[in-house]
Amino acid sequence: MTDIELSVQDLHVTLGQNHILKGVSLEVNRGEIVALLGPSGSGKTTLLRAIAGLELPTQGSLRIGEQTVFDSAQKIEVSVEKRALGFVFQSYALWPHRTVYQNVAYGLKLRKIPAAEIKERVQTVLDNLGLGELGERHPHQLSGGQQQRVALARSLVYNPRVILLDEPLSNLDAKLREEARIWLRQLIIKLDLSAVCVTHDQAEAMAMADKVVLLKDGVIEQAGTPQEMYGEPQSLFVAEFMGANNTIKGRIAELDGDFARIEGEGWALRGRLRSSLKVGDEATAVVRLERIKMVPAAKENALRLPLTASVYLGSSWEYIFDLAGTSLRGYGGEAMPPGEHLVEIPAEHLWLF
Amino acid sequence: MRKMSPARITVILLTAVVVFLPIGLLCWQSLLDAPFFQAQKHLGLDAYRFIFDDPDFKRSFLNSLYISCGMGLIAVPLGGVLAFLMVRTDLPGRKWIEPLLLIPVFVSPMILCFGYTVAVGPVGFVSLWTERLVGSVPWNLYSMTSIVLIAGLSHVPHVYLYTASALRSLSSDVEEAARVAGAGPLRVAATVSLPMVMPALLYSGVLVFFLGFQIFGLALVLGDPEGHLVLATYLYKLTNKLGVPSYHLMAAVAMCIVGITVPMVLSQRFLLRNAHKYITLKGKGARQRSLPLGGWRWVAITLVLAWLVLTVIVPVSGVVFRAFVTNWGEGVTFREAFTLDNFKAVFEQTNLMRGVTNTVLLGVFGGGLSVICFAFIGLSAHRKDNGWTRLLDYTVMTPRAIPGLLAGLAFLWVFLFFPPLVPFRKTLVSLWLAYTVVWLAYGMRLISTSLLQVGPELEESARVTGANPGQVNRHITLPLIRYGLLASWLMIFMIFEREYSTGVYLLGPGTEVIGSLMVSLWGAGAIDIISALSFINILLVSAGMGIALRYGVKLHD
Repeated sequence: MTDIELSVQDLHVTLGQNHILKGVSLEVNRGEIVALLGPSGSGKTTLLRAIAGLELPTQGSLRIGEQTVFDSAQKIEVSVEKRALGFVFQSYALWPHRTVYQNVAYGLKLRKIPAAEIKERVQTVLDNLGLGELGERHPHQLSGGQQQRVALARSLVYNPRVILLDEPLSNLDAKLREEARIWLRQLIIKLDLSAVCVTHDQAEAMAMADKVVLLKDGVIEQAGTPQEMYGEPQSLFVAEFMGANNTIKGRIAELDGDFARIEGEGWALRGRLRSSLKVGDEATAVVRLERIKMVPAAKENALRLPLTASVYLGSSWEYIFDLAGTSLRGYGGEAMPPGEHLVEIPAEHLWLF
Repeated sequence: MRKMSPARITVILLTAVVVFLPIGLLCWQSLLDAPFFQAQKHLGLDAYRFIFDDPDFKRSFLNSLYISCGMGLIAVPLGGVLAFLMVRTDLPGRKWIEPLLLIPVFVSPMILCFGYTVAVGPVGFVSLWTERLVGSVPWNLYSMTSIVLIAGLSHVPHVYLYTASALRSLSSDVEEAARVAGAGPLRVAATVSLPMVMPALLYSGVLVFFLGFQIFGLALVLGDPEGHLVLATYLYKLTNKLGVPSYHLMAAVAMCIVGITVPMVLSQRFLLRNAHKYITLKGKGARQRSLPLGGWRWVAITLVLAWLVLTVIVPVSGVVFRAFVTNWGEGVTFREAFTLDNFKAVFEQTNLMRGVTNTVLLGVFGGGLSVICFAFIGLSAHRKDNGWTRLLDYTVMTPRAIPGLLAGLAFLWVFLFFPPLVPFRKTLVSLWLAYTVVWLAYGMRLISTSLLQVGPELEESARVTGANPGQVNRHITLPLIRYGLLASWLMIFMIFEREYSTGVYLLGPGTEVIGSLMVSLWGAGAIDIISALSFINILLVSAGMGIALRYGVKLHD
């Protein structure tokens, strides 16, 4: 008995002339929520559609639970409708000619469930999602949030073990989206489902998922827990994608175990090596905005920099300093007078790529 | 690409056979020196040699070319101006003019030309009034110039439809951007608006040009008195001329017409790819602001009304008028000539009455059946793009190049000599099949417009939910396009009511329809009956248009 609900091995997908996925492997354990993250064109939606069977891979294999649903070597291809997955489309794809009840009941009807049971199960899932009263409405009579929940109800009602979500929250407005991602995570955990969720928003991915998979140009750049992805990026791309950063270009001056000294025009900083660099190499130093600190007295990795602007954000202030022509941004609690300030960039959090 | 299911492939292959078999037969026959069903026959180019040596053929070809060019020169600028006025300006009464513009599309040219002979022919009522006023009739309806003029004017709607749809899908902010950038209105029209609709104009220009080569009814009615032949009427008169039906010659003429029209249809396909290259915004995104015409509005409305009077009102009123009088000529008053006998004659003659019933049956039930077939064909290529669907593309396109007269001839041969089909020869089945093939391209455009509006994810979500492709079609796609299908049915009904040339060779006891009866009665000179039949036909088409307008069915895209 394995705990792996979904297994993707070396998947390749070609659409027209474009090689979209170039060998992706991925495992989703029972009860796990995996977020597929990446810039547009990275192949995240294609991966989701290939798992569902909506795109035909050219190579690789796919397993859902114990069943192999695709294997290029063995020439196995289980058709979409037999994969018993839940899929929530970005546009929700509610059938406009059917009522909410009929939309949700369709999957059960196809499975030849007795009418009385259909009625009961549809009502239960609608009640669970707070849609109990809306069964007789048509999709166009619902708000965006309601439509999203109907789409979810439709894909949950026949108890799939894995649910696939394609940017499920992107059509909601910003406020609703933040509530919905927590609600959605709790719902998936409550129902003990496995989920794969496509998103292009790293904050959403980290808030919702147990595991984040970052795709770039059809391959996995890095996969891991949100903490690993944010705190231990293995490449400049991951570091830049996962958070708000300052990036500074410089040259490696000295190596010191895991650390190194990077120098630029009139400045030098110590940072942690995150890729193999030699003395004299051009390098990029990356530090998260929230790691920048104002310090009262001179210390290691503290630079005296002129403040070029400060911006009031409501909950905090954002400062913009000038570091040899590039801007260095940081947050703080109060307004700061113009002039030069001592700014610390902790060596532990300055990543060198 | 996923494999095509056998059902889809069957539909596509069947369509290809139904379209290409008759054409193949025509082609093969044109290369024989005797009818294809005779034992004694040889391959050769004799048929072509004969017609190329015939001075009548040469004249017909030149006439056809002349008409096509003239039509293009008249219809393209007028259609373009009309489209601009209707779509982009505050022309008064646009709402009322719009459906009237489409009358020449839905009323058969046979009827319109017949109406012209009654109204502005040598003894037409308009001619007589004019003669009384100015002393003579300053026009000759049966001259080549008149034929070209009428052909051009009656094809203005074809250009209008394409150009108007291109103009509608252009958001007016591209023009406003040019205005803001400092261009005056004329400069905007010349440098922004016109180049953007150029592909549509070009496309409709090619359309009008090859429709010109397909002209039959118009030349039959207006060309007859002075002996002006065009390719289609040359083909039609070939039997009379030689005394015996000479299949190989007819086929050779048919192939000549097809040889001209097929390349044009193919070139349209290329143009169509370009026609949409400028269209970036569609649907609600394309905001339209109408250009105030100011003082020019009266000039514009006069131009539009003049066209309407000349192209629609004169011929239609001629038909209606003639249907209710016994005879017409110098010194006859309407009061003493008024009669209902023309209609009585139609109702009393069984073959005419059958023609009327058949026309209605073919339009209502045949049209419905055709829409069902078109829907099957549309679904067979739906969301697929591979060799099979490309084959279907070309299959669907081909009938556009085949004039109805030739298609009817080809189907006659198929039904005469293909044993399993022989029993259907004298039934409406033969006619229905020919009609369906002739209007295949038109019907498929209606269906695919509906199908394109179904979002792919609506079907995909059904698949994921557990529906197989057949269930998706039944439960999702077809219910979603049901109004589109009903609208298509109505359009096909009107087109089938209008059709006259396809039935000409298939005409026989049991397969009479109003259109083909009119063609054969024209030969016999039965004006009274033709006018009554025309009137009935106009009523049928008007009923269709009435329903369309009542239920807001779009008469064009």
